[in-house]
Amino acid sequence: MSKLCIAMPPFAPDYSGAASALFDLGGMIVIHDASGCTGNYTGFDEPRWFGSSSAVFCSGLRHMDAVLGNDQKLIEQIIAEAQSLKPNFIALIGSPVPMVIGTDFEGIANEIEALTQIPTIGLDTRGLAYYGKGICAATVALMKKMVKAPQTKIAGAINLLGITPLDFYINGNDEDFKHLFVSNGYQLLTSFSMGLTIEALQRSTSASLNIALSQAGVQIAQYMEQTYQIPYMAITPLGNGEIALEAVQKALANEYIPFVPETENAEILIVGEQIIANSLREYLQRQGSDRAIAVAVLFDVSPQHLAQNDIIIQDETMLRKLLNSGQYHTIIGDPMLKALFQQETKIKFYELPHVAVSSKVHWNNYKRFLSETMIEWLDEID
Amino acid sequence: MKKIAIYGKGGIGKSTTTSNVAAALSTLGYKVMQIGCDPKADSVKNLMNGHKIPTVLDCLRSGKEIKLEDIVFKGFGGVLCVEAGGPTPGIGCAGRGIITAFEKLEELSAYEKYQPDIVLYDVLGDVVCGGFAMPIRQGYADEVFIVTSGEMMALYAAANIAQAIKNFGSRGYAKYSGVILNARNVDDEVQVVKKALVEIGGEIIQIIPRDAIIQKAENMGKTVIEAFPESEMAQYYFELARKIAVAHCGGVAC
Repeated sequence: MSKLCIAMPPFAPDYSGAASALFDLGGMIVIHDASGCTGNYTGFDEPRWFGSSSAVFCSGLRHMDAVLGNDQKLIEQIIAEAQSLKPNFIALIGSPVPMVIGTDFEGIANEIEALTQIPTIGLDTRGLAYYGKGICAATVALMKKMVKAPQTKIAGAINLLGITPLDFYINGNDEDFKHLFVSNGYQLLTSFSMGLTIEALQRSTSASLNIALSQAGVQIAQYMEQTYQIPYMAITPLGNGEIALEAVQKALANEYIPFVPETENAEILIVGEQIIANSLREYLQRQGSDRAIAVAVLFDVSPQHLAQNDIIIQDETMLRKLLNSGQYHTIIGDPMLKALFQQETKIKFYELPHVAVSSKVHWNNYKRFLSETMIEWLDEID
Repeated sequence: MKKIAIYGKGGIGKSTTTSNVAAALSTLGYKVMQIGCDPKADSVKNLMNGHKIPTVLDCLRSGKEIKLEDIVFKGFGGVLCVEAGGPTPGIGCAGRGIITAFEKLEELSAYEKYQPDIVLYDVLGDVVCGGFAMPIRQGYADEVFIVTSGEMMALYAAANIAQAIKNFGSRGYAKYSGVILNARNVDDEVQVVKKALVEIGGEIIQIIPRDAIIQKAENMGKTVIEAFPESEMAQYYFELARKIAVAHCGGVAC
């Protein structure tokens, strides 16, 4: 029972990540579930859902459909809806029940594509992995389907990867990130995944450098590095964005050396998404903090971006012990973490809401990563 | 690399046929991997001197980190032997177990590391659920052979399997390549099977006559190819193996 969540909510899963990555692309998204998973995605993991016109459907999987493997019903429903919607593509997204009965998402997608002539992807998401895996799986599947041949490289051109509402909400962070690079003279080809279009997806293979702003972006960047030979770096722009700009400039000149943080006997702990947490640590230490800082990763992990003494959180019990270990006098993380603290704690806690953790409970207090208020907030941390 | 799935009714002689074909192919110089997809986990026993090997699911159950060497074993003639295994009898899900075992093999890059010329999937009984259809999905077997006898139950199962494969044609699944007649001395057996194939489709690829020597070899924990390589029965298996090799590899390494 060590995986039991007592005080924390379960974090955003892979099917939410997959649907989130495809949300803006004009496709027809079908989550194959009874309705709970679709409800979790639209109700909690997708801030853009409210008032949007994106076509996200629930297949309405029922007991006997699962028992009898009634794929035909699902296929017919999707085809009927697709004929009226005429989407750019169809995405069929998995959830726990289809996993248990071994639904062949790729096979069903092939069948739908053959019958409709609409590009169709099937994603074997299961609700057992974190959202980053789903974001990557959906993006890569769509790239395989839509990018026929890699384009010629454009010197100095960049892509931004891993900008999703699950990490950065919808308070303008996405536009701030794009503006930072464009206003500093960079040719921005594609920004994944908010505001993404099929055309932008196709031209993304011309980039000379991918910048992963979150761990989901790292996973996509690794695929693009392998497939299209586009190198990548991982950093989230913060404050005035100078550290990220400098890093990108160096990366394009093949001179970038990732920051090596001080982590020995850390007294400050950042709990959350790996790349954002790493970037926060780099900002704080490069702004003069002489304190060692450790990162505790809540979701997917890229081993190459782990520093010495960083921690991969396995479950709530481990997280609770870590937070109350007495080692850290300052902790940064989603406000919901406070539920894990012992009652009489002297720990200074700095709130950094994260949609994949606390959803709508705290998204009205989301940080603008590139802003004066962020700089002020960062300056307060000691 | 060619991947071939061998299906058929339970108890019809799939594992015996598959193991003998694997042994014959390896004797002919091919690098072969045989993957047993049956919770009983006795597909490769006769390639392993009568010994059962740890299954993929057994290893997963242990909770320890798994390496390829823990689940892939070299049997007679260097045949790479794997058993998917199954859940604890009476609980769990055998079909899901097959999927999990396949995913583990892929995760560990089993095909890339061993680079077999031919992979044989020995699959239990009928196409009973999504898990047992896994070996014929896109990316796995290219072709399916069905083992049958002239008995009605075996032919009924063969018809079901062939129908399932045809149903999934538009999903990019494996193609049905015919039946292997594992004779049970039913009256007029070849004609009975041929008549059934008019409805089922496909042809008899090979007739394997019934012979006590198969049982004799199995009692020794071996295939006929290993125990009695000069026997008449061994020649039938060599003939089937050559047909598979020529059809799929042009007689040379795939």
